[in-house]
Amino acid sequence: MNGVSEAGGGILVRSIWRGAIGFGLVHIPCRLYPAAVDRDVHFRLLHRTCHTPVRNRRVCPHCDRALEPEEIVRGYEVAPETFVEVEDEDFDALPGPSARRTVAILNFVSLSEVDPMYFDRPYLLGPEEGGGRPYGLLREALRRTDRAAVARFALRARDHLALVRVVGPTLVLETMRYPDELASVEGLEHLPTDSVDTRELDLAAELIERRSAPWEPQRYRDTYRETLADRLAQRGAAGRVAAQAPQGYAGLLAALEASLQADAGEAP
Amino acid sequence: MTPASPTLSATARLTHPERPLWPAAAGLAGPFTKRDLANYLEVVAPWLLLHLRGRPLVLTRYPRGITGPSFYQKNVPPGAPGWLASFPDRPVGGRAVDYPIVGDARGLAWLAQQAAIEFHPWSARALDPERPDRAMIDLDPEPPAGFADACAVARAARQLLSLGGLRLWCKTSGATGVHLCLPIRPAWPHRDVVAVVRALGLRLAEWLPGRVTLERAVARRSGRVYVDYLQNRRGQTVCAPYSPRALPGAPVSMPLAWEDLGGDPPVRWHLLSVPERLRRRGDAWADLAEGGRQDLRQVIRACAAPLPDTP
Repeated sequence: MNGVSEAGGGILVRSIWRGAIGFGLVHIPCRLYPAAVDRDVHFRLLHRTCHTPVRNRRVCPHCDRALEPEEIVRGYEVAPETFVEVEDEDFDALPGPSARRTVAILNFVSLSEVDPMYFDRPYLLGPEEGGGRPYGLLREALRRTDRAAVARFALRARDHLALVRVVGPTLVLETMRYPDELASVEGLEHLPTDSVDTRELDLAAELIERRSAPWEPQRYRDTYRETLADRLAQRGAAGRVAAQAPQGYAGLLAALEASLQADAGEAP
Repeated sequence: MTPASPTLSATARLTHPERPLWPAAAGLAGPFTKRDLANYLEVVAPWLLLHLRGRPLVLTRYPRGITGPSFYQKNVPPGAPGWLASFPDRPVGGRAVDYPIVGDARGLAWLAQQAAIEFHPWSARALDPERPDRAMIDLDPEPPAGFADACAVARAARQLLSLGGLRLWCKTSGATGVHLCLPIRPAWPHRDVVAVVRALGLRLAEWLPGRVTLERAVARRSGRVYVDYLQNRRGQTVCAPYSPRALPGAPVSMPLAWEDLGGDPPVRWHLLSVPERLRRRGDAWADLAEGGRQDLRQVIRACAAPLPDTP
C-alpha cells in the first residue's frame, strides 16, 4: 500500500527537523516533514466596526489592568490556589533531549501489536542527499521482517517516543503517546460481559462481510469543511463586488461621518 | 526662522565623531560618520524642528552604524540631559512611557550623540496627545511595484482629496515609499483618523484596481502599493520630514513639491544634497502650517464624490 502518496493530496511542506536515524553503528541522515496538513477552516476575530483583527491582552483581574509580558510568570498549582513560580532555568536542570539530532532506535516491534490509540502525529522521514543507501537498507529490512522501530528523539526541545515504520517508498515516523496519556477503560460503565447469541452473531458477522470494502480513503471527504469554505469564498467574492458598489462603501462612509460627528471636538 | 546658533552644537558633547554610521555603498552617497549626522542636523534644524517640536518622539538608534544592532527607543534613556523635555504617557491598560521631546538645536545635537538616525514623531502634540493634528498616509510599494508606483498612487490620493477641497503634502519615505501628510484640525481621536485614512485607501483601491492594497500580510500585497492607514493609531509613527533613514547612502525623507515628486530617485536626497537643496529651493512644506487645520470630514466628502476619470 502506498498510503501516503495516494491519500495525501497536500503539498510537501518544508522540513521541520534535520538529523539522523541512529541504529547501532548505522547513521542515516534524514529530514522530517509534517505528514498531516491542517485543513481546518480558521477564523480571525475582528472588531466589527473597523475590521481590525483584535489583539489579546492579558489582564490581571486583581489589579484590574493589562499586563506587559515581563510582568507575567509561569505558575504551577501545587495545591488549589497555591502556586510556585517556574522560571526558564527550572527547565534547564531537567534531563533534556539527550541526543538532540538523533532518532535513536531502541528496539523493534510488530506493528499489529501497537494499538492505533498510541499514535499521536505522523511525519514523513526522508533521506538527506547521500543518505539513500543506508535509508534503503533500513526500509527494506523493516519491510522484510514486518517490524516497526521504537525510537526516541527530540523535537522542539522535548523528548518524544516515536515509531518508525515503512509506508510504500518512505519511512514514516509517528510520535507516540505514553500509556499514562491514554484514558483508562475502568471508569466506563455498562460494558457487556455476557456471551452473545451465536445465531445473532453469525448474522451480524455476515452483514459485516457483505458490507466490507477495501480501504479507499479518497472515497471520504470532509463535506462540512468544503461546504463552509465554499460558502465563505462565495461571500468573499460577493463582498468584493459589494465593496465597490455604491451601497456598501457609502454605508461605511455614512457610519464614519456619524462617528466623526459624535467625536468632533470631544475631549478624550 | 533663523538657523540654530552653530556654537550650541559645537560645544555639545559628541563622542566618536569619526565613527562610521553609513558605510560606503557602491553608487550611493557616503560614507557618513557621526559627525556628518551632527552637521546635517545642525543645518536642517530650522526645518526639521518644525515637525519635532512639542511632539512625543520615538528614536531608532544605531550605535554601531546602520549595519550594526539597532533599537527603537521610546523612553528617555537614563543619563539624558536634565533640560530634555519629555511626555509621560500613561495610557489606560498600556505601558507607561516617557517619550523625549526635542525642540531645539541642542536636542538635535543630543540625538546625534545618541546615534539616533531615524526620528519618528507622534502625529499629535504632547499638549493634546489624544487628538492628532495630521493624518499620515504611508504608501509602501511591494516589489515588483516601486517608487514610481507609490508616486502614482500619491498623485491619485492628491486628486481624490482635492474633491473635498483638501490639500495634501508629500515626501519621499527615504526608501521606496511616499509619505503623505494631511494637516487637520486636532478635533478627532486617533481611531477616527485611522478609519478615515482606511476609507481613503479603499477608495483608492477601487479607483486603481490591482495597484493599491490595504492587505496587512506582506505576502498578499503582491506588486501593489500598500496604503498603511494603521500608522495613524495612537503611538504609531511615520518618520519626520528631513529625518535621515538607516539605509545605504544615508537617504533622507525628503519633502517635495508635487511637480518634483518622482523626478529623482529617492536616494538623490541624502545628508549632503538635502541642505544644498534647502538653500536653493527652500522647504517644500513651508506652507504646511498655513494650510493646516483642515476638516477631517472633508475626506469623507471626497470619498463620496464620483470618481474622476482614471488618473
